[in-house]
Amino acid sequence: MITPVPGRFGRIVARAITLWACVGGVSLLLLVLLTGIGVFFRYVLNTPINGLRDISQLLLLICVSGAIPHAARRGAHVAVDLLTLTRHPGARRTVSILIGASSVALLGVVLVALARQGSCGFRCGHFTPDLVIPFWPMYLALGIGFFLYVLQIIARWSADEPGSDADPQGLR
Amino acid sequence: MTDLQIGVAGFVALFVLLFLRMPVALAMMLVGFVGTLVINPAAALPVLAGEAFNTSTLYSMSMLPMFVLMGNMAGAAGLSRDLYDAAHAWMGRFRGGLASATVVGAAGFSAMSGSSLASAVTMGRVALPEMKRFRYDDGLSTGVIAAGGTLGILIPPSAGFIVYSILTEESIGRLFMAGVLPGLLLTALFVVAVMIQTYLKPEMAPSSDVRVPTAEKFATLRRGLWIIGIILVTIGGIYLGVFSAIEAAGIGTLLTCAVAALRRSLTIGQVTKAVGNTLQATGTTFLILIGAFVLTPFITLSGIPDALLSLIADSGAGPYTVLLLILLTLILLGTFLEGFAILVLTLPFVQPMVMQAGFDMVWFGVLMVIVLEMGLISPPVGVNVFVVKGIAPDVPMRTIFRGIIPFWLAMFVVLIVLVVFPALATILPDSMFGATL
Repeated sequence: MITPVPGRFGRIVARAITLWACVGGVSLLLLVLLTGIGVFFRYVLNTPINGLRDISQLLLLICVSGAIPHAARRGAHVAVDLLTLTRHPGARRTVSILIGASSVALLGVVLVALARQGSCGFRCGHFTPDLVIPFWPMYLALGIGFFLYVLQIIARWSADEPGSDADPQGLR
Repeated sequence: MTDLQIGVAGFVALFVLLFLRMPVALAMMLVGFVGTLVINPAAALPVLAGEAFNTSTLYSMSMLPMFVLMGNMAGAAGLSRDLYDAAHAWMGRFRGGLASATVVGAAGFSAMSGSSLASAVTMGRVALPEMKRFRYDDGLSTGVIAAGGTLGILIPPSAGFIVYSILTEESIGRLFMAGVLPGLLLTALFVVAVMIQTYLKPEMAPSSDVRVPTAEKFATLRRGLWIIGIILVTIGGIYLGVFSAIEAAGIGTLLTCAVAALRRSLTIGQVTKAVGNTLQATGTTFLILIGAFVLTPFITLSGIPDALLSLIADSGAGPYTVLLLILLTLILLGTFLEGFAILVLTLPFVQPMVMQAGFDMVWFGVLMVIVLEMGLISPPVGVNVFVVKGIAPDVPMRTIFRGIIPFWLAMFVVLIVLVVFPALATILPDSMFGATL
């Protein structure tokens, strides 16, 4: 279930995530269609399509990239709900800020790592085996997903009232 | 600090982060990244980017969103309702028949959906109002839905098996086939659990005197043939070697959409909702997998698995003692950790131990998925229980957990049966692919 994040920034982030999820959803439908077409060509026409796997991988990546922030917006990323640390709102907020900050920092490092790896290009052998599609647009697409995830955490964070029960991590 | 000490410190940090409610995937990623940075700094960034990218482009994982979409589409198009109606028509007259029909309907729906949540939500929405109408006990009706939903990760196509196959590099075809007989056995035991409860306490399920005419029974069965046909094509296709599991996922989803379109039972809104729910499941699962793949190199570098193996060898524990300890630990973890989290967190340690003990990893995969199923309905964080609570907000959690106990015990029985008779899981994959050495 989506918990709306109040404020202009929250609305902008929500729209961006929805838009990217739409792209991911279309990719998923195309992936299904392409798999069906592949089966038809392979078994019925007896002419396998070259490079189908490359395109499928590309579509899967876009689907995943759209799905990660979408799941974050719906609070679906799995967390352990064992301990209610304290009923003290201040302590709860401190822990939430700590975890939220760690999450943002980690995802920032992921973005840097993706940018570095993605920019290596052909000299690192970063292209698909059949159609020789360079990987950097895929790294970029994945980076967009993680970037939107960061924005979702920040949006949830900035909207959180001190001591409220809202989860600044934006993930539950 | 030795690498082993760093590894242990990493695990303490991981559990601290988990208990502070950091999402499991991010906690694994953080510990994996920092741990690798400490042991082998040059590898940390490439591992982080490489695993995120490789997991997101893992061709074999493309079946996961497709199978989940297939189940969501079937649910949205009302195909699951047909299954339930057919089971209801044939079994509803008997005492506890509606609850048994729910189990059978959930098992049928599980054969279309890899997700236990989708199964619980879909069958819950269909079956719960009926059971309420016939004044079934709240514990029985909610318990049977929560437990029936768990069949979604045992009966193929199963998200649990897909993730397990990725992590252990076992054949997904073998795993799917290995889940069939235990899935059917568990379905039968769930029905037996309903029968025993209603025999001992008849007031739990007042008898419905509504007799369904034979013609109507066959009519419901005919309507259910669509879904049975799709299941036969996809799972049968894998078994006969006509399709790979990925192709079966694509074809199954296309067939489901085609059937829904033919019956004019799918609107744009429903498609959007089904795709949205599929993306949610996809995002959750892939992020956890990315976290697991970032954590695994750190675990290997730290040498914890080797240390554990030496510890077991030194202790002189036999293979079945090791297995028992592993299963008990997993069951315990299932009481507070989510199923996929258990799978990805424990497999890097458990796999070498199981392999060293000489057990079949496909068979162990079935055991592990059943333990995950138990976790899905174990207090205090059984995910399926919360799903059922969402559908039946007026039923207290205590009542739902009480209703689950007989089904949890049924799972435990299947676990024991599988340990005693491993062939129950291996006979189908062996007949299809040949026996493993």
